[in-house]
Amino acid sequence: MSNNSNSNQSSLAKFAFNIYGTLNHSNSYDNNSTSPASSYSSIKSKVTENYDYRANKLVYNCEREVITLSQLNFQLHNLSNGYPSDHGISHHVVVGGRNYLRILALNDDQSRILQDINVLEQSTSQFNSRLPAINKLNNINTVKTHHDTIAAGLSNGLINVFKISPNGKSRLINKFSDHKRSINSLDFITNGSSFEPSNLFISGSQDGSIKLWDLRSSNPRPVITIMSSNHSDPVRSCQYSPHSTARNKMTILSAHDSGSLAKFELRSPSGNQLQNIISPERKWNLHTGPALSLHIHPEKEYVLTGGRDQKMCIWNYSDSNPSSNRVTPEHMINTYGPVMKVRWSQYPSLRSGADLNLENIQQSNEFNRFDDKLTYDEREALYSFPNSSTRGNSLYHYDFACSYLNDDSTITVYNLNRKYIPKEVITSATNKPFQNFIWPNNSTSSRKLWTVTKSNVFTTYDLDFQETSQDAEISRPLDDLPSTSITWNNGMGDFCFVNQDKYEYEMTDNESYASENDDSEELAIPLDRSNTNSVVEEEETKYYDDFERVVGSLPVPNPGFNSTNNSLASGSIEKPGLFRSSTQYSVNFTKSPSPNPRSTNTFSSFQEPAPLVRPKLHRNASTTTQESNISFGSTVHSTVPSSNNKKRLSYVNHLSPYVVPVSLPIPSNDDTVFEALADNYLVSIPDGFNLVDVCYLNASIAATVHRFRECQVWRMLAVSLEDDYVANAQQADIYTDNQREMIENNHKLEDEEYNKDAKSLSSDLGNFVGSYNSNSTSTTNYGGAGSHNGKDQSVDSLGKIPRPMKSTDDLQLHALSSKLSSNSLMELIHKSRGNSFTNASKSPEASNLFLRKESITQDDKLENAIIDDDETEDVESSSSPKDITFTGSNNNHEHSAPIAITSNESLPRTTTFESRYNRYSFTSQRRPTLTPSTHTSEDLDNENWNILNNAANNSSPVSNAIFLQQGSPNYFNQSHHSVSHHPYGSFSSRRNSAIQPVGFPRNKPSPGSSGGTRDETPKQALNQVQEEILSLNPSEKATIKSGLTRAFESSADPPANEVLKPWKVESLLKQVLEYSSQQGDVVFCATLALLFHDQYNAIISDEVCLDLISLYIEILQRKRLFVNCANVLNSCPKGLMDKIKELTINDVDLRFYCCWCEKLLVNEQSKEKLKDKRDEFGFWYCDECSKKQSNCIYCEEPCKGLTVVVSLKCGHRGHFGCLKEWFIEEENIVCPGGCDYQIL
Amino acid sequence: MVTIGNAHDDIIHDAVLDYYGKRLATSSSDKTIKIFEIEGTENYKLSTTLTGHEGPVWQVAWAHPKFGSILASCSFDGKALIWKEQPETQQWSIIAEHSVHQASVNSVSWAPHELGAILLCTSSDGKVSVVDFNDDGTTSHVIFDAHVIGVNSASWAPITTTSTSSKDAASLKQQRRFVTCGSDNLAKIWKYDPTHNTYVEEARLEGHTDWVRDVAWSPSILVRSYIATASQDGTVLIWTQDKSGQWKKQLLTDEKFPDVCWRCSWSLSGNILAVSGGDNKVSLWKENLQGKWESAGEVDQ
Repeated sequence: MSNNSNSNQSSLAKFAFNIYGTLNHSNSYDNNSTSPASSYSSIKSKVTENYDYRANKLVYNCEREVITLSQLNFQLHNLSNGYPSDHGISHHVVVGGRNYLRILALNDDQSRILQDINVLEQSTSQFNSRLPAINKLNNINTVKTHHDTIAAGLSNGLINVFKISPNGKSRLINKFSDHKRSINSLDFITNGSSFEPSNLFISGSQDGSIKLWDLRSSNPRPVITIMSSNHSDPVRSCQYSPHSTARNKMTILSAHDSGSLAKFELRSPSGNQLQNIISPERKWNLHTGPALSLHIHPEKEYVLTGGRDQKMCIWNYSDSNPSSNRVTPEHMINTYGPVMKVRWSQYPSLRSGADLNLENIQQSNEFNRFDDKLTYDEREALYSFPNSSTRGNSLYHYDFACSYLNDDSTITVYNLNRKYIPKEVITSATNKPFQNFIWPNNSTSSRKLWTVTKSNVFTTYDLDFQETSQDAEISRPLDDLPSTSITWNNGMGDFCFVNQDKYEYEMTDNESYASENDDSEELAIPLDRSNTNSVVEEEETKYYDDFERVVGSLPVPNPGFNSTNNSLASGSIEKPGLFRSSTQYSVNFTKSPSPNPRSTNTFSSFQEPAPLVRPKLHRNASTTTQESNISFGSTVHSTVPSSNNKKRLSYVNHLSPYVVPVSLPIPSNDDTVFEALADNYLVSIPDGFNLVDVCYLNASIAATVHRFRECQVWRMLAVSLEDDYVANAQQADIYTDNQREMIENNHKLEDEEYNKDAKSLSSDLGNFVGSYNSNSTSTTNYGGAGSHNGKDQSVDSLGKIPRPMKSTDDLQLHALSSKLSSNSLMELIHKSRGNSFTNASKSPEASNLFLRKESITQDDKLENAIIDDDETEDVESSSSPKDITFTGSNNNHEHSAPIAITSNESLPRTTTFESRYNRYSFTSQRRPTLTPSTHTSEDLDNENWNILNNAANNSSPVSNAIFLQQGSPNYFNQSHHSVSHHPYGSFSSRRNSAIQPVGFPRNKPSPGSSGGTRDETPKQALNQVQEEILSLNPSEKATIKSGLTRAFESSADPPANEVLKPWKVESLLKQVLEYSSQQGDVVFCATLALLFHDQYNAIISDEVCLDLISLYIEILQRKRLFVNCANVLNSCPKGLMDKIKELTINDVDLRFYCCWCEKLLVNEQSKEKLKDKRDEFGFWYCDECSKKQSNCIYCEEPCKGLTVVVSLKCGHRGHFGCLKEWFIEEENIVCPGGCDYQIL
Repeated sequence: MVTIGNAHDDIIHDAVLDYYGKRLATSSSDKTIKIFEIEGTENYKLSTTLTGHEGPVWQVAWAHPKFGSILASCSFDGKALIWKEQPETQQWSIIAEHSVHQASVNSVSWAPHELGAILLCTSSDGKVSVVDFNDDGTTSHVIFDAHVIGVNSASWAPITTTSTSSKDAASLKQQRRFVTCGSDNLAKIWKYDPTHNTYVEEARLEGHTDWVRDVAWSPSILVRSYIATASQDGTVLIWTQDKSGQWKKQLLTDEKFPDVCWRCSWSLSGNILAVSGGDNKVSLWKENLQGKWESAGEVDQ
């Protein structure tokens, strides 16, 4: 019926290995498994008493096609090189197939084949005379043995019964030929013991009948014939229920092609008795396809069936089953292939994989007691201890296995404790499908499998054998499944992982125990348990001693169960009522002595030696936490939560699965800090501010959240920015001078400037060696210098409470700055913003002049008032000479106020050396854009270079500049030196001392690299600079190259000649970006990108900027900081605004659904017709139902346009304005459509 | 550490937080998917159980919230299911079923949301499929052979923002790139080929000696683009592209991990790699300034 589906399924099955793991992978490591049988049997020495497991595997090649196998539990003597068995019972295997029936006589531990006996050839038959051809055409389809009897069902419907004598001779005693078609199944009717001879057996056939035969009868007719239905429903498998004798019944179960399970009662038969035909007492339809196999649970009235529908069902067939009428089976196991054979294990599986290794030795010792001398029932009693996990529920004790149809080469072992994941998967060594298998009885009561494959190989597997974990053919899928899963949270270093003890799932809940208990009472097995109980308890204590010993020697003792239970009871678990014990519990409890409730004493005492729970449970996270705290210099904010974590984690043990949220103690991973930074960082330059101010502000913000490293970085950037400004200003000075000389424009202002230049420079020189420490109060009122003061103070006070920055733009602000506190910081910004606005707006045309004059007057006043202080301060603070600060700040004013810039350009004379200069440099560098503030990207050396470039181009003003330089070298170069080198020197030394303890990770701008420059005398520096300026040749360029220079050279048009200046904004920025992106500090990176992109395009390219900003936006969105997100969007660099918006805002698509047919309005047809490409076309019309969408419920006008339409939950829609009017202004709460829908 | 005990009847294979970190979806061998609402850091409240798969559910993946509350899951039963929560009723339902694979679907991953609602599935049948959920409610898929024995995992390349400037479908499609890893010990990078409407192998990452269990492309462009591959052979390799475009491998650790490396994943900012292994440990790795990978911690549970 389903060749297709079958092949699908088999391929599914085949690829199960892929998932369930490593059926194949270990092949590369271990090839032993394929070695032939001979090696095992020949090597094996006769050390049988100790059950040497080294050669636990047996492989035997049958020459012919084999189909079936059965175990012969009958002692054979006089075998060649045999020996008498100690146990009186030996286990042999009978293998049947096409013209093939052999007994493989095994030694005691089933590790060797002592002899193989060809039953067909040597059988003497009482029918010999009549049927000489008996040995031919024996297509044996199924074989069943009992005691000394072998019944073989043939594919032609014949049943041959052989008797084996102890010397291995066999003879055919009976031939039954009543079946019309192939015999599929045979079973002896016994009381469960394999030692009493039985004369009754049943046979199930393809012809749809089950027949009961009596071996004693000479009549070749069956005693009874059983039909499950009137039309023949082929019997795939049938079995006599050994438990039924307890109720004085003879119950037979059969599985049929129709997928049904039939139950027959022979003692109270129904059906037409006259014809000896019995119809089933009950019938259940369990499978959707043919049911191919069934097997009855060794202890309870449960039957396991397997079908082609890839399912195994476990069904309680007892009469007392209250739920026998239900449709779905009690347990259903989905397998990965059509199930061919199912078999319960002969012996209970006492342990799960978790503790298998730990206790294996003990196990084998213990189990040696339970040899086969005990009767079946005794053994059963021993194993049916109610243990905590499966109290009274032996259903869960026994594993069961299934093999598959078609070409699936696996046998899968399951246990009900864990029905979703197979316990073991056995793959045949040859990758040939298994034909049949059984769980043999054996003297060690271990779970063994005997199999025959379609390549006619008989193989044995020992699943309990310790080394099977290394056996390539046996895999435990659970071991190959990871038990942890990590997922990253939206934070920078937040993640959580789910962990679990894989084996904890292997149990059922209490409710089912209870019900099972009831069942077991009813299904009492006919056995006087009191006899065995004492024995059992003895065993118990013994076991426990051993157990405790083992536990005591465990390397990592655990807090144990009591603590776990306490923590559970304390309510930390969600459902405290449902207690779920782990497998390790069951380790302890499997041995709890009796099935009866009275065993509770022992039970409770077991809790003491219980510390086996998850012995590896300990956690290193705490150490990590501390380590990284130190190394990253993270602060109180980040350590507090993690230390909490640490405590919690080390003291509380939960049952799995558990989710462990982990917050990495890295600086960029602190939600409160992140939010504070995202909230407070200035991402754009407010009016009236310059970049330096913003940097300082951001530094103070970083400081408020204890991000001292970032704070320092911001400050460094600010300093270097200032440095650049100053340098530019100097250049500008020269330019002004040039201009003045060249154009003969004796502007008063510039004159003054010049004078001041000279003045302050001389004072500079005078104060050059002034000690820094004498720095007292900040006095300058100009942006650059003012902020320097502020910074100096903060730098000094580093490690104390971070002080607010004093970013002063004018006197007013300066006056305020003394009262600054971090609280009023933002307020201040607004104030200063207002100030600058008023300044700028006074007279736009003259604003530049005005500002300048104002500052000059201020400057003058100030100079007059505190001139000494001022100058000392200037030099001491190592910031810059007065006049330079002045121009610098002026420039800043100009550039931060666009109006001023326009005025600059309109009045070139009054200014504007700066912009002019910029123009020069731009032309020489061929920069595409001419933004007023880009001048900062040019540093001093660059400019010199540019000047020379221009000179080479014979531009007259520049040659003048050179002339000027040459003409007044002292003045210029010394000022240059004092500006650019000296400040750095002092700063770098201070920075190194101040920042180092915080753990500043980079040493690139180290004092060493700058030391040379710093220590140079002014003269030397002068010479050097002179040289550099004048002797511009390629070799010179190549001498000192920073990475930035190289970057410039590779990308920029004119090669830049650069002195290595590690404090330069470009290189700083580059390194800062590099470092913080490595750290994953997106806030910092993105803020930098937002602030610096416009001016430092070479460092933060469009792409980088876009990436950073969009990542930042994404993270803000993930953290649901939508306000910040919008803020960032709005402060995007102008050039990138469009792209960013495209990336983010378009993400939200509003879709409309038709209000009539509730389909999504896409209207592809109409779009096609009207050639309208717009996505949002037709939201007022629905193609599907060809209806117009409803009009506005309020004004009856059609609803059009995305933004004005509001849809109510009742389906009515209306214009936003209309509904607003209705609901808000008229204060209605009901839908205007009269549908009584209330809005709250 | 919060127990979510009793939630599942069998081992949990995957746990994924949604975009906002407010929900945790877990998938288990018991064939169900469960969704937990996270309140604070310690309270995981089970809100929904999704049943519909017929085998162990290997992985789940949240779609970007702009598509709604959507979850994709894949299972041993060879299917990938798409679940959607109705915002009004909070009811989850299956809105799509993707069952083109012949064997277990081992991983699902959504493409970067800029590319649209696109799901990438890898299967034990050796094939990889890319499913497009079009705006008009239809789906279309491309399926192709990727790794011989089976494809274990896949990961999308991050979208570089500059390249998304053009929004038309064709150019968006051309940006589709992902890396897959399989049981042939390889990882392969695939790129969309518009002429044949399929995906072509762009690079082949050879270096493991056993099955490659997981692959992760660093999601952030903040740092260099990394690909991490975790393998059965107990190693994790970090792949970076040099100037010539060649992928160079680097061992995460010189010593092998003590056990199989199961999963690897990058943090959001792409600078921390988490590796989980057979020893039930999660270890974190970070590149130092010298380009060496060093441990940033280990969570041992």
